[in-house]
Amino acid sequence: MQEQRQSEFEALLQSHEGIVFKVANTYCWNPDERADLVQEIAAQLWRAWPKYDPSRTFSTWMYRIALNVAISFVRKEVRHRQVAVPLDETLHDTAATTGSDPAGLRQRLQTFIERQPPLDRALLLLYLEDKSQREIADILGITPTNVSTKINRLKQKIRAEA
Amino acid sequence: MELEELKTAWETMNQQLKRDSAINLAMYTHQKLESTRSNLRPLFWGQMLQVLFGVSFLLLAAALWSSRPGAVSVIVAGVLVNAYGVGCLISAGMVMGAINHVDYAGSVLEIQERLARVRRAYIVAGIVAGQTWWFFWIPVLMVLFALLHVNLYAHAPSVVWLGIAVGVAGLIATWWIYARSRKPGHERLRRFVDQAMIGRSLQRAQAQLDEIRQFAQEAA
Repeated sequence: MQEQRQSEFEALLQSHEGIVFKVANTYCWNPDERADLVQEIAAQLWRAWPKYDPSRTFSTWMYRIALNVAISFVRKEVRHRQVAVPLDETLHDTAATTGSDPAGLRQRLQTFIERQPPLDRALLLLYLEDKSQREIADILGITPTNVSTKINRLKQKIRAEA
Repeated sequence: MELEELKTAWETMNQQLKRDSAINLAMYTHQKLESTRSNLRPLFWGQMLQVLFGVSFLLLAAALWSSRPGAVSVIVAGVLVNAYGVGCLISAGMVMGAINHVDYAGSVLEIQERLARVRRAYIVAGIVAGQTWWFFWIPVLMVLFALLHVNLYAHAPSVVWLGIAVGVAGLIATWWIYARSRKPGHERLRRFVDQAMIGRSLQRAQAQLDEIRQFAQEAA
């Protein structure tokens, strides 16, 4: 029974592993810290797995755990270091990136994400993943109306800053 | 940047980072669960230290009770030391219980608010526990002397009364400075008090709570 639950978890984890990587990428740019965060999310998912309710969507459950762990991780890192460690100085020089070349776009996106507070980053991630407003509301714990308003503001911010 | 460009950049970025990461997730679940770092582990170990702190006062009190003290003043001091030890254990137990019962599968806002509250409660409890030392050193000293078969209050009551007077003065001065720092026009004092008395950790915990509440508010 235990082994069956374990293999079921591993299969679900494998088919949804993109969620873990995307959340980790959203909150950590430093490769070592990102690996730590991925490890911690995976461990927390396994820890929470016995209480998983199969009537709920697995991806929603996974997003909640991954985001909660990531936000706590970022807050802890900020507490310890007081400043965020940038991956690469050139990534922060938005003026140096040009127009619409893929590398430039990635750098601008990365810089934009880094500037957002932890909770806004979660919203941005879910928006970029094309999640419905209802699902975003369920994951974050706010109302769909609030999600809609925040997304509109986020769009304006992206146009103005990114 | 246009939204479609942003989504394309997002996908490209994640694919590249996933390739670079090359981490086997399953490896990090049950097999390495025990070796993983936990975000709340520092808080947890802080509580363990508090437990040890509390236990040391309980042992001190136990040593006193085993010597069967007869003087009322020594018994009162022993009761206070005993109560402080129990208080340390109870508050540490409450925080550790709260940490262990955090269900990360809850909504992001709910869990982040709960974690921020735990951190704030932990810091506030630390401040309160620190303030009690304006007085608490007196019963501790009395118990230590009692273990050497010396009744401090009987031999030198002035030490005890002077200690209490110093404690009252210190506590009043602390709260007077705090109250003054909250008034307009005392920004420098406020900064000093915030750093010296309240600490940056509490400010950060409060800032996190404020940020969470602001995020939860319905945008107008």
